[in-house]
Parts: sequence; structure tokens; C-alpha cells
Amino acid sequence: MTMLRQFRLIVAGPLDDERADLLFDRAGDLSVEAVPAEGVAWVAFDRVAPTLVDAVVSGVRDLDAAGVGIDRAVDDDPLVTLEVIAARIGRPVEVVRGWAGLPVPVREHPRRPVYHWPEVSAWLDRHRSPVSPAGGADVALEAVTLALRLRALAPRLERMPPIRSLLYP
Amino acid sequence: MDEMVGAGVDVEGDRHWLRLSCPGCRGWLGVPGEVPPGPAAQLVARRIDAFTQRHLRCGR
Repeated sequence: MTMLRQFRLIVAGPLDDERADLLFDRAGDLSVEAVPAEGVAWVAFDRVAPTLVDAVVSGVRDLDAAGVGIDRAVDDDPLVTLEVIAARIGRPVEVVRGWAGLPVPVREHPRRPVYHWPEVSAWLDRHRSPVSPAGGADVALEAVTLALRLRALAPRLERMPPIRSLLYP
Repeated sequence: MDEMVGAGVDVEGDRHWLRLSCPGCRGWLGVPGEVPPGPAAQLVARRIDAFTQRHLRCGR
């Protein structure tokens, strides 16, 4: 089902303004975040796609085209707004806003509080709409990560076809 | 946007995307510069809110 898919690609190597220019030239449904002090950067996607796998693979292609290296695919940012919570459970934001007992936001704000998704998800499972597993999201992200690692190793392999044949026993 | 600057985040707009920088740790966020109102704008606002929250302690 075509729907919003949210995930991040952790960047390997430099992510400068020129590469960010190329990324934003190519796609308008992403954001780029860097924490130089920790040596980490990622590209976060809000992509509409039939499956998470389709979304992540198309995201990999975007970074490839911009010359941005990729270390791994991971879950979306755990910090969410009421709008994101509402979208994930398919309820109007006004309904979610009115729920008593929602976990305390990590950022109190009269109009735009910010919540920690794992806490919200656990609360929803107990009290409201159980959050259905996102169709094996962990498996999809790990599979893409493994494919990226194999791709990185391929140039150093004596022969690739026998390795590729292992995918189809 | 005023609120972000007040929280210690600098905004630079010299491209067709916006760069928000934390003056404390030099972390930065890039978001699309032009987004249609509605759900797409809310998704960008969420990215900005999360970034701002992460840098509340290290911003000036």
C-alpha cells in the first residue's frame, strides 16, 4: 500500500554543502542532519512509497547520485510531533491531541510539543490503538544495510557471481 | 523561525534549501526551502522541532 515511509540513512564519509545541494536538487522529501562533534550525519526521509524496501532503495539511489556514501539504514528519528503520531496510527491529529494520559512530551510547547516515539508507541499499545508492526521494518532496514556492505566489499572480491548466487539457494 | 533562532539555532538561507546551525556544537540541519502548506510542511516542521530539541542544551 502506498503510504508515508520514514527512515534514515547514516552517512559514511563527508557530507558537505555541495553534496547537500545535489541531494535537495534531486528530492524534496528529505532532510539532512550532521553532528560534527560526534562525527555522525544522516539523511532522513519522509517518502511515499508502496513498501519500506522500495522507499529505502530509492533513498539509496538518491545518495548514490549525490555522491554521498552510506553506512547503514536505520529507523526514523525517535522525536515526533502530534502530526506524525496521528499519521502513523491513522487518526486525526485533533483526536490524538485530546487524549488524556499521553506520555509527557520531551519538549513542552503550547502548539508543537515533541514526543519520544518509543514511549508513545508503548502507551498506544497499552491504552489506545496498538501500533501494528511496520511490516518487518527492522528486517527491511537490516537487509538493505547488508546489501550496502556487500556492495562495498564487492570491488575487493576475487569473484562476485558465486557470492551473489548465495542469495538464491 | 523566530522561535528557532530564540532557541539558539542560526538560520542561513543562501540556497534553495535552508540550513539551520547550532551555534554551540556546530551541528546543522538542512531542510527543503520551499514546501507546500499542509502535510509536507508539517513533516519539515517536525524535523526542525526534533533538531531544536536535540540542541537546546548546547545552543547559546
